[in-house]
Amino acid sequence: MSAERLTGLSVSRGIACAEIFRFDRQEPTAPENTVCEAAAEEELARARRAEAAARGELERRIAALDADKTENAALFRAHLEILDDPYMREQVDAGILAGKSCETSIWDAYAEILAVLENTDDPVFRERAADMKDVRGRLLRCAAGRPEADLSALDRPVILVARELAPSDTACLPREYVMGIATEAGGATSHTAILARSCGIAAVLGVEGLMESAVDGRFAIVDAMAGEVILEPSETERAEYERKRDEWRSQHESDQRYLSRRAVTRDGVEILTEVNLGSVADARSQAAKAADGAGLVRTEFLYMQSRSLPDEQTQYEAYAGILKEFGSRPVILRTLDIGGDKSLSYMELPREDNPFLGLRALRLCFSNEELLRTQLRAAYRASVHGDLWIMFPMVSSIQEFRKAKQLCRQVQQELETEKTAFRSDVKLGIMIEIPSIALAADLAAEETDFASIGTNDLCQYTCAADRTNPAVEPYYRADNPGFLRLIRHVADCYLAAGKPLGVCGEMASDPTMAPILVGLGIRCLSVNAASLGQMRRVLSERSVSDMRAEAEALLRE
Amino acid sequence: MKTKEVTIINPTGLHARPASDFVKKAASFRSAVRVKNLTSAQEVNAKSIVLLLTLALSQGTKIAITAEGEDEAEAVESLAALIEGGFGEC
Repeated sequence: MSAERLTGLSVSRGIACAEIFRFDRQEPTAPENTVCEAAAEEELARARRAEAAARGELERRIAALDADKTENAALFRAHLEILDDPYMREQVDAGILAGKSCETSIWDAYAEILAVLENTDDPVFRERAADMKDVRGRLLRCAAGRPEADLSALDRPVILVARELAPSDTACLPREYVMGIATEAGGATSHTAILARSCGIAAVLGVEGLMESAVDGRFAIVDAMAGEVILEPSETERAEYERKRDEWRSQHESDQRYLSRRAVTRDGVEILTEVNLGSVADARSQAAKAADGAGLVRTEFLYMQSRSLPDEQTQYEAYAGILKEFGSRPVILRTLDIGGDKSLSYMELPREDNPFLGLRALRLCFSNEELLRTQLRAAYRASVHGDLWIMFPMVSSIQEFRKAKQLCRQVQQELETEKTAFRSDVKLGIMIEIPSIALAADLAAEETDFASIGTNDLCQYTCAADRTNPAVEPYYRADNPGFLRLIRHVADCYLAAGKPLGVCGEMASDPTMAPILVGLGIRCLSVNAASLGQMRRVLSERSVSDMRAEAEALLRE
Repeated sequence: MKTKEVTIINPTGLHARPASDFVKKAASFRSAVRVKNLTSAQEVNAKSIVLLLTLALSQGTKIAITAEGEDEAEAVESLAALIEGGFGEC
């Protein structure tokens, strides 16, 4: 029998070879049984017992998550509210009194609401429908007296295979036994992806057809370098991947040793190497502890992981948490960057023909100023805990920066009036990701305290190639000489003004492109946490003069 | 019986946390409380989070809050104030 190869999205690098552990959460189906009226009392009692058991499970989850200080207890609180909804209980009881079994009554009561929720395109409704199904599944399982499937019982090395992992599943994951993770659902910013990265578990998500093909207990390989899952490989393939895995491990271990050093080139120039953060947990990783700073805090995580707009206090706690972890090292907080390819399930954004050229990021915040004001208040309040820099995304002209700065002044005045402590020396800067501001970088360098080049967007706007459209991928090139010249121009302007400039796009984490950036005059790179060790090694092995020559050559190609 | 009409002003509407805050408040009164979506004319029990969600109350929607019982005046006033306060989102 030959191996089957499935592809997906690599979200946490590494290679894992082990047997499959299928984690199936059974989707319940409509029960068939009905009961005669004489047994109604007993059925009502069963319904109450199922509710009590389900409530107990949810309460234990909430208590465990609260103790762990993770943000996901909100999910289980929402489930608890559905479970205790007076209307749902009424409907279940009415069904039983009309002669249905406990199971059928539960099924029908939820089906009625699901029919309404599933009959729309609204993502909020779909999310709530998923919650309703989750609670119904829990109730039916409790009614049958079956315990909750639990990963904590794992006792051997496995590759965890699932349709999707819920936060409740990963909360009790035995990390020493999970070598790799493969799921059908999930993307780079999913809960599973973040967990896999922070634990260094090889993970490939979004694998179509996985559950159909993966057999429990059979051998498999998760190649999270190539984004592949290989089911039942041949002896030769298995040996080949085990060799690759060992090679990767030893390379990775030697890169990790660079974490304790700074990035100094052969000719003695120090390059600041910072990390990009996508959560408070990211700030506690080994790489974050070793980094020269946090060059980009993607504050969207607070908005995307939540089920409603995060309030000021929630944001304050998250920012303060990150600042405390970094101590005296700078932390660059990017204000909310949604729109384009990022959306929020609970907030309707206008539909646009060209979302990347539309009302996104700072523009969206200007059209809904309270969004930004709440975020700035939280940030300024948190500023007393460390060295905070605030950065505005999607700036196309200096006027937009002035407007944002004005809003910062208002927030500072408010806090002063309220006698709330904040630091008045918070640096204010911009992302340079739109060609118009890159071309006017001399003006930007004069007024801003700092800037960071967002290469992902700057490249797509400069080359006019949508980075999410595979058909134009050949035109989206980080080595396009026009694009590289633009970066050099920005670097020259900020150097002349004596203001800090970094690069925080994917290009900074790419071991072949980062040296080019240094060659163009960049002295600060903010990279993905997983790349920090490798980046410090790559830069330490070269000299600035070599990197400059390499960049010069590309500018003329 | 007391009734009051209000407009939802918070950006995320009556979903998620705001919906949950609203239902908790409604459940704290002895009176029967109902909410009507004045656009669709649908009306439901305000103490049920599930039914409230099916009303699809987004920012800008006008609703009528009705209460009947011993604390009906207080129920209507405090629930209307909650909606008008924007749930701390604005």
